[in-house]
Amino acid sequence: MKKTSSFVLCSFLAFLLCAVLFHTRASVSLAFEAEQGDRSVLNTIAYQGDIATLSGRVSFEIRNGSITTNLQETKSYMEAKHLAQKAVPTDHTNDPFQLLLYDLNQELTPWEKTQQNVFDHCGEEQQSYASASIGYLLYHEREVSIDTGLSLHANDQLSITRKRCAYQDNEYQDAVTLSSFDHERYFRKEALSVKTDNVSYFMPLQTASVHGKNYIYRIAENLSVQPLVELPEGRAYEELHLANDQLIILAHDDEAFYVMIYDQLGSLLKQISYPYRYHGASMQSFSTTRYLLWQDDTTCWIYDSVSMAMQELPLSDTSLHLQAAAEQQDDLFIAAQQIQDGKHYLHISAYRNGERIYHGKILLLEYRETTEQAVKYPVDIVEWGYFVR
Amino acid sequence: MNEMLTMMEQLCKDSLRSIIVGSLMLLPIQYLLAVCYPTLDSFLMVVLPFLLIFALLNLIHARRCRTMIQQQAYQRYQLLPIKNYCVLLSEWLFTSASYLFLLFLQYISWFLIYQQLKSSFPMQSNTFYFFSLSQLWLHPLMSFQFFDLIKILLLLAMLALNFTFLHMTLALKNYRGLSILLTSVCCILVIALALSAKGHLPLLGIMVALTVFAFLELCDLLGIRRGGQPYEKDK
Repeated sequence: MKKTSSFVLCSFLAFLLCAVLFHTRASVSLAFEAEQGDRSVLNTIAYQGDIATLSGRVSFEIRNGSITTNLQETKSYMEAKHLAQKAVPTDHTNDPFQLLLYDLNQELTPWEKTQQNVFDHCGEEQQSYASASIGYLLYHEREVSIDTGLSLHANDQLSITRKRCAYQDNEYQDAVTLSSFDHERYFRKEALSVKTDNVSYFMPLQTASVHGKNYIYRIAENLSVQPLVELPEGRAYEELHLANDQLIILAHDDEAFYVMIYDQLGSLLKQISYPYRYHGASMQSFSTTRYLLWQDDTTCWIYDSVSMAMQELPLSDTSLHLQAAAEQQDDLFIAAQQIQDGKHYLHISAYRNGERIYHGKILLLEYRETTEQAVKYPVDIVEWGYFVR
Repeated sequence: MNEMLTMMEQLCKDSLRSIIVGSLMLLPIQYLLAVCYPTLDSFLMVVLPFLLIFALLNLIHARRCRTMIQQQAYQRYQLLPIKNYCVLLSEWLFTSASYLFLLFLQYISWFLIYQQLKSSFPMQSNTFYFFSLSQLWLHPLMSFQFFDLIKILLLLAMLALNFTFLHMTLALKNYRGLSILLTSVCCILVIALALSAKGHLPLLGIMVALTVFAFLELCDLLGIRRGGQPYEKDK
């Protein structure tokens, strides 16, 4: 063959070879490690999660006991730059409840509760408040405002400040900045609600900085809001769940942890308590049709709504944090996350009658702090995922 | 086909060596940058040398076309009993092949850069994947998915045609303004495709339309279209 023709053919074949080689090598492979039990128990359920970076997002799925990965999107340079520079404003449009904070003494206009860094610019002037009244706005066909009678009080760890801030083109609005861990939680999980076929129940999150009597509220189909149960004072109310038609509340005070079980008419069916010392850790809890699971510090507990009994659930490691739970054919499946020496593990376990019948872990990411010659890399995020049918 | 390959052999073989040597310069430049400046942004380490070599390749092609016209090689081939689109296709194919060769070297260079920098990369699992994914400037050159490969080949073919139009018009000193405008718009579209995540299809559509226009103009210029006048030296 002549020189030029050979060059054309070789260039094309070499390019194709390299592109295919790149495509083969540039894929995420995940595998189960340290398995105990028969993995076939996972055949009845699937699990989905994401490994997201500023430059792209890879989803993974566990189905029929095998793991598949898929590149969902690659970010463009402009998108990644935008993401790196600015926090994305929280989209509240899908939240059924929006927390409103009012100035008790002066005005009734609710403040825009948000994190200051989502705004493009804020004024210099700021005002501090000792307390603020807590209300909720319910978005469902029409707006319904709920006055809870609770109030938020500033203390050593919490400050309530208000600034005039604005997005790029919008008018200035009041932005309330809350400090301290307690109020980080307010931004994530401000109202706890459960829904049956035609009735919803909700309970404001109550922490040590929130004073006043707390209630479980019942929201009827016509959006009328009635307090259903007055809750004991002096407790921090962390979670509200619905399992097997029981309203289950997780609460604690300085000495004990409480599991309070009500029926849907507001009668207390049972209260379980155990000694507990709050360390300020964020609590995770998950409910299935039958079970409620939660983790305080290092212990994982499970409440069975049929037998109305609570027991400790053995996790393979105390450094695990509950991530998701699901129930399928009398088997309980739990996903837990573990970050150890920069390794991000996802643990999948299956339980039958309180006994663990399967456990396996998957290394999602291994992240290592590098030396001064570190290559610049956008922040990585593991979105740990959830169970799907 | 044989006529076209023969034509390509005759018209292009003289610049083959300079194209190969010029493209091969990519490897030492990028590798040395990776060794000496490991924290350099991927634009400066990879994309800028790539663009410089790309520009150099086009200079070589433009010079080749100019020599071809000056030595009246093209005019002589017009007198031969061969199909009149052979010159256009051979030029397009050779330009595309030179770009493919450069992309092939870019992949090789990327593998070398990865070997050099992987130890200082924070992600230690699936490292090659995340290393490549983190280099945002390189996404347009990398085939993460099968569709990317198709897109790269399509863009490359369109760019090659537009640049062929530019090389020929510069050599023939005809339609120069139009070809410079078309090629510039195509380059801007390629950059827009590289930088934006959305609107790929409209951008690709505009680029296809411009390329078709460039192709028709090139056919006119070379006298391939019915009614088109072949180039004459004293025109």
